Amino acid sequence: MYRAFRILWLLLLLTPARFAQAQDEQAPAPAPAPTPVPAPTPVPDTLEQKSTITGAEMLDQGREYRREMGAIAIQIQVQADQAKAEKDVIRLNCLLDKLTQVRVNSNIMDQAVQALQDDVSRNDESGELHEYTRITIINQKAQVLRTEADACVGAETTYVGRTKLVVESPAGLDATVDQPAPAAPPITIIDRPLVASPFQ
Amino acid sequence: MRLRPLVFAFCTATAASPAAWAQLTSSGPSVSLESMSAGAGRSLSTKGIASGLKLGDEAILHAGVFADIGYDSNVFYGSTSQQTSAVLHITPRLELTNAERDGSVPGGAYYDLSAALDRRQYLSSNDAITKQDAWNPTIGGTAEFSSGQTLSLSLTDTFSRFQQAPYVDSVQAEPITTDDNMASASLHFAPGGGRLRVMLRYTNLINKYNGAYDSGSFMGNEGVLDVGWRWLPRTTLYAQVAQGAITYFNANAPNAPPGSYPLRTLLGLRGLLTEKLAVNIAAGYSNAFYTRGENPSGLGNVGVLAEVNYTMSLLSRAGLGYHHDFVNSPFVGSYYNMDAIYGAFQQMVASRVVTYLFGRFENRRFGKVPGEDQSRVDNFVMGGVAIDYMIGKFFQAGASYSLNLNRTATASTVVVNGTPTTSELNYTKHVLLFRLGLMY
Repeated sequence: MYRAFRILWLLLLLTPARFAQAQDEQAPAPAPAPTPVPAPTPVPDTLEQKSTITGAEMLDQGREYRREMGAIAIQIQVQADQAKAEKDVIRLNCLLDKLTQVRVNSNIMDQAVQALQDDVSRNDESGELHEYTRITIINQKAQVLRTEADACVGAETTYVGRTKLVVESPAGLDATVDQPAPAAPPITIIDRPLVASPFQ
Repeated sequence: MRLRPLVFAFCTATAASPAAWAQLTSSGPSVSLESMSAGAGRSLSTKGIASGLKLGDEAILHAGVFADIGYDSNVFYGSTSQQTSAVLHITPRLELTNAERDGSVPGGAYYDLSAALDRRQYLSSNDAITKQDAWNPTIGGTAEFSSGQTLSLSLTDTFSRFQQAPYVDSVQAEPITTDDNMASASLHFAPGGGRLRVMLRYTNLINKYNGAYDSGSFMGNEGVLDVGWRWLPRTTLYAQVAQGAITYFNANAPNAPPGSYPLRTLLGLRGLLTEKLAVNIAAGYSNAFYTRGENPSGLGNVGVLAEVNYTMSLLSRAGLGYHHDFVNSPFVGSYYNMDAIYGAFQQMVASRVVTYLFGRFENRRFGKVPGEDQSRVDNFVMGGVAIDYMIGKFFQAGASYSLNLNRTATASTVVVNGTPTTSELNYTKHVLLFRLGLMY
């Protein structure tokens, strides 16, 4: 009895292990181990770039960008005034939209330049770089707006001349069907004079 | 295989023919249905023919010659003794225009000058008949300035000489010869894209009879104001006022017919009702205002015009009309009230054959002549059929038949030398002609 109990205990112990082994044999081969991802390129240390331009240079460059933005705003304003004088509403609306965006970005750049100036005063190199990046992005956006303003099209592209009404007639019909008949001799002119008396 | 030549010949014969198309369309825009019903639809026009001699950057010279030979059943329009004869017409024609070869008119200045000469030769040994041989010239021109623009001007002038046989079969009888000249100037104003159209036209007409009929020679002047409102793209409501003045050259002669100042007003609608159906319906007040004698009265003061044109297809069209009006009459009763029913039909077959059918019936109620017991009433019929076949680009062969008929319903009786006689006019005239033509 004790011996039988030992055999049963061994069976119970080994059978699951066998089933597990069989299932392992039927299961698909495990996926290959993923290729080791190359280690990300280490982000260059921005502080290394800082070495190419100083805070004072950043500030000068930012002020230069700000002047360019002012020039862009003036240029678009001139174009808008011209469109207004020509009563070209389509082009005027387009230019005013670009002008508004330029002015909004000018205000943002003013704030960024002011912040850059503060960072330069505090010698906060990371702050300098952050504000300078903002200024650069705003400058690029202003350049895009200038290009878009130059591309603003007006009525001249859709204006093809004075409106002319052309009415087509169905094929085969006279185009002057609703106009007065042209001058023509009366029917009687080709008629014979009648005999007024037997002796005429 | 044996059918191939026939098939080829058929295809060649039925190929699109610009000449046939021109023949069908040349009488379209410039000729009214009423003129079409009187036979004007088979004009000898060379307009729109895709040939012609280029004389410059714009000018094109068209030339043509037509020969008609046939039979005249009643040369002298007799009621009892009718003289018949073979007849030959030779008609050369020249036309100079700056229209395109397809007939389209340039937008700026446009002109069209034409001249034709009809030589009528009776092939008979009867001297009374051969005396009716005639040269009948026609010279005309049209000029348009700023055609299709807001303001445009058009000028036309047409002179024609027409000699007809008299009513008497005699060598001594003089032919009835008329010299006619009609000139007109039209000013068209179409503001607002043509929504409103105003036409002001002056027309001068000289109708000069030679010989015994000279008493009926007259000059007519007429001014027409036509105001149309384009209600739909091709449908116009219009009002028209025409004031004329008819003056006889021999007004001071005894028994000369009276002059008149005819006034005609019309209010109506013209244009398309559907894509294929066009109408011209109008009515109004009219009066002749003769300087003496009788004037139209009652229904004679009402002018009615009702025309229906139906375009069945690109190659066929038909029109039917009714016209109630008064007409100046130089020889009997100063004027006559007219009720006319008329129609025309044109059909092109296989792009080369053009058929043309026209007809007109008139009931003429003449004004009463002082001293006569009753007014004269005539029924007049004219009609005909023509068929033309275009051979290639330049040649034409055709045939035509025309009928002229007059029946006097009532006429006063006059006692001459103790014999009662009437001025009835009853004749029937058939003319059958075969044509060969060359156009370039």
